[in-house]
Amino acid sequence: MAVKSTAERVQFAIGIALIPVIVSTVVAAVAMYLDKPEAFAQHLVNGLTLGGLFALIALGYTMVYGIVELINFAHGEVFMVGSFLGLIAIQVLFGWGITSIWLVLPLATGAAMVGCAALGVSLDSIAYKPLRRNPTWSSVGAAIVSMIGLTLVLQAGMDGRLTFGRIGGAVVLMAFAVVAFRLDERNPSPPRSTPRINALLSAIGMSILLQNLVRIAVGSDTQTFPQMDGFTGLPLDGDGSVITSFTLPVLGRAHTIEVLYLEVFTIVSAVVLMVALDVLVNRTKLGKGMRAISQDPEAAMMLGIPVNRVITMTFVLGSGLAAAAGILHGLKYGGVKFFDGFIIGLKAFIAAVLGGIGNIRGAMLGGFVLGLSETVIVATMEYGWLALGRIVHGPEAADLWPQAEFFDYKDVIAFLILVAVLTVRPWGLLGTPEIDKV
Amino acid sequence: MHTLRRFACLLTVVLIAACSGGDAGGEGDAGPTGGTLTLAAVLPTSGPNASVGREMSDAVLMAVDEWAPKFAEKGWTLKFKTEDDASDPKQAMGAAYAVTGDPTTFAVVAHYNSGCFLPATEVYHSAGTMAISPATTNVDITLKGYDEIARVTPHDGVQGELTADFVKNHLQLTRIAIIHDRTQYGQGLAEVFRDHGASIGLEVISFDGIQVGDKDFKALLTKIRDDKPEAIYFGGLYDEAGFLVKQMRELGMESLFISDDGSFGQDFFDVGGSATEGAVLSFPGTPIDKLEPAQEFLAAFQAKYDRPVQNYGPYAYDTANILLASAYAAVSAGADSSTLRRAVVENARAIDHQGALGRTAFDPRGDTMNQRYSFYRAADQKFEYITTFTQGGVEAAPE
Repeated sequence: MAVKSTAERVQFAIGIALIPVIVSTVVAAVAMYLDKPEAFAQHLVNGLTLGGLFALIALGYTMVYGIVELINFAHGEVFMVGSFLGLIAIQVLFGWGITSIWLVLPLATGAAMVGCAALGVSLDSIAYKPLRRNPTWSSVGAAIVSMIGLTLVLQAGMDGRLTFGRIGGAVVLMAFAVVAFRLDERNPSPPRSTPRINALLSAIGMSILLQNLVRIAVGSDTQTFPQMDGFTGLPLDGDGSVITSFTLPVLGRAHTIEVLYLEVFTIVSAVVLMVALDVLVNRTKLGKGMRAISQDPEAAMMLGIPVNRVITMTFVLGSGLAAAAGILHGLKYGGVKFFDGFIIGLKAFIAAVLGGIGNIRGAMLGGFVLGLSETVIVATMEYGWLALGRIVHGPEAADLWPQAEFFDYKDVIAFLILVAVLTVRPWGLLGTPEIDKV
Repeated sequence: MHTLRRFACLLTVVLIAACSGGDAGGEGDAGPTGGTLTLAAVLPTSGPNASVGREMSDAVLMAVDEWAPKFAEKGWTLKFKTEDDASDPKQAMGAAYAVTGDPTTFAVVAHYNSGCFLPATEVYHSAGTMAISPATTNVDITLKGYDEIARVTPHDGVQGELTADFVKNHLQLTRIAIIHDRTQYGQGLAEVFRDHGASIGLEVISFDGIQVGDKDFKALLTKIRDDKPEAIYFGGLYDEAGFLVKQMRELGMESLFISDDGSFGQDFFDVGGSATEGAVLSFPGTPIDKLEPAQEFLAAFQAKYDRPVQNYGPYAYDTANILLASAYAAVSAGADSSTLRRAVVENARAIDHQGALGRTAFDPRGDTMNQRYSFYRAADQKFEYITTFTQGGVEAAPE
């Protein structure tokens, strides 16, 4: 008992110590907003865009964890494959002469999402299902064939040709993923019956496998997304601008900030997808099944919920969202390479933990908090630090006050926020504490 | 398992000795001539720098193919082996042990990344194997003065200094923001640039690090935008350089973007796209298109691999040629497999090589005496030569 109360006391003390930090950050944020509204708004836009991407990927981690208690470390790779599939789709559409972004973006995003959904099903069949129960080897076989299909699609190069091999690969990818999915309907068993570490290692293995598969198929260079007039590329003067303006009133003065259309598009589509997912989980039969399984898989099975189908659908949804994030990410930064899933996957995982792993709204919140903490909060801290220097030393602050290098430590600051949140709320921002019954 | 492998190695050695002994049997005690020689290359053929690793490996292979007949005349089979260090220092150590553990390896074309070569120098030194790097530029690498360690590239001390001189004297800019990628290479370079720049009157307004593999630098750039620098200097590699310059222009920043030889190559254009227009990059040596022997190499590379040389191909090619010439001289003088490594070290350090890079000779530390950097401006997705600076910060006519 004594140990527990000490831990609680430490937790309490840290919570109290955090209050002045939070208060001073908020004060600095308000001061920065009043002093440098353009810079502050720019940081806000950067943070929201980044946060939207983190949130979309974090959802895949959290949904899978909520249901099978597996940290799917291959999820970052699914995101990267989604980016590649989106790029291929865009190039094929461009090759057909379709260049209107209103057609290209939905079609390419749709194609990437469908492709990644198939990849998600295959991943589950190859690497995770066999660890949860007696595997049906035919479904594992079908899933492996579908991965070979994916390789064929990627292998055909990045020039937008629709070769026979590429079409064939796409058909094989889809068809065998569906076969694996159908076969899995037999032989149900509860999802949490083996030690978690097995599935975790399997996930890391799949991550390495996918990364190298893409490296061999596509090559190790960055593949660039084509420029779309008026949407991606560089800011232009006059017509064809990729920039839109917002007017921001501060203390009676109007400040105009410029935002890329792409950033608006990223934030809006991230929010739309997240709302859709929220509705799906809370309002549909599938969502009800997912929630039931996350509470008690065995009871859900006894009540006739098709556990396997729901688990597979979870992978499908998570992978689809990751694919959407992949194509948005590729458009935003203009390129993708095989290594891209690693860092952003790690950050999205942190976002999921920050929000409370297993909690869907938590992942959304965690993504945005992480995105903002890398931009707005870091900028605010540096601004506050320099302002403090000016208060202490007056005009000689530049010489006397220690150099602020907060941007060097942007990841450290983001992780410190994670540590602080987890110390005070070990179950994350929106998670619920797990009660161990002894 | 280990014993088995050692036994297999031993068996191979014995068999080779037996074969060559058999061949040379009639000629008396001329010593064993012949056997297998391996030129090893430890380069990043996977990981973030895989494309440049592949170019270097292909360039080395070209040199090996050219030398193989000459070695065959002397009764030696020349082989080439590439080990992958994936730009990862841990993997680099493993690869260094692997190549030096092979008794047929006589020398190593060693590493693209300074962070990889620096720890591995100890391995090459203790194995007594000559290791010449075609690309690493960190100052510390040759600091210990090991006989076995050398490089054909000028080092960062020179690159950072000459770039600062160039910015001050040629471009005549003063307000500079510095960004580096926190690697031994990028940060080392940025620090030299900062320190030398401050001493010649550049005003360094900020000095920040970014994370390799990260793609979003808008937060940092938004901060720098407020300081209105005339130029941004980036110490790092092409991917981050491309994303930085692209995001600078997206944020409406018009500062000049200046970077280093790590950003020099088609990949910088692939990532940065039209945002690279006007960027200034430094690259060691004299421009390749002004050197006659390099032309031959460039054409041969294009013919053999059906793609143009991007950046470090000539360096790897010269490195390989220096090592192969040293080995050839050694075997011509009658070195056998037990004395070959030492002989290669001695020959290579004393060499005066006229190759694709111009004249290469090593100073006592193992650095090339050809310490020149040239500056290029990106125009329409190509590099346009501006000028060359040599030590002391003076503009020099190309050789």
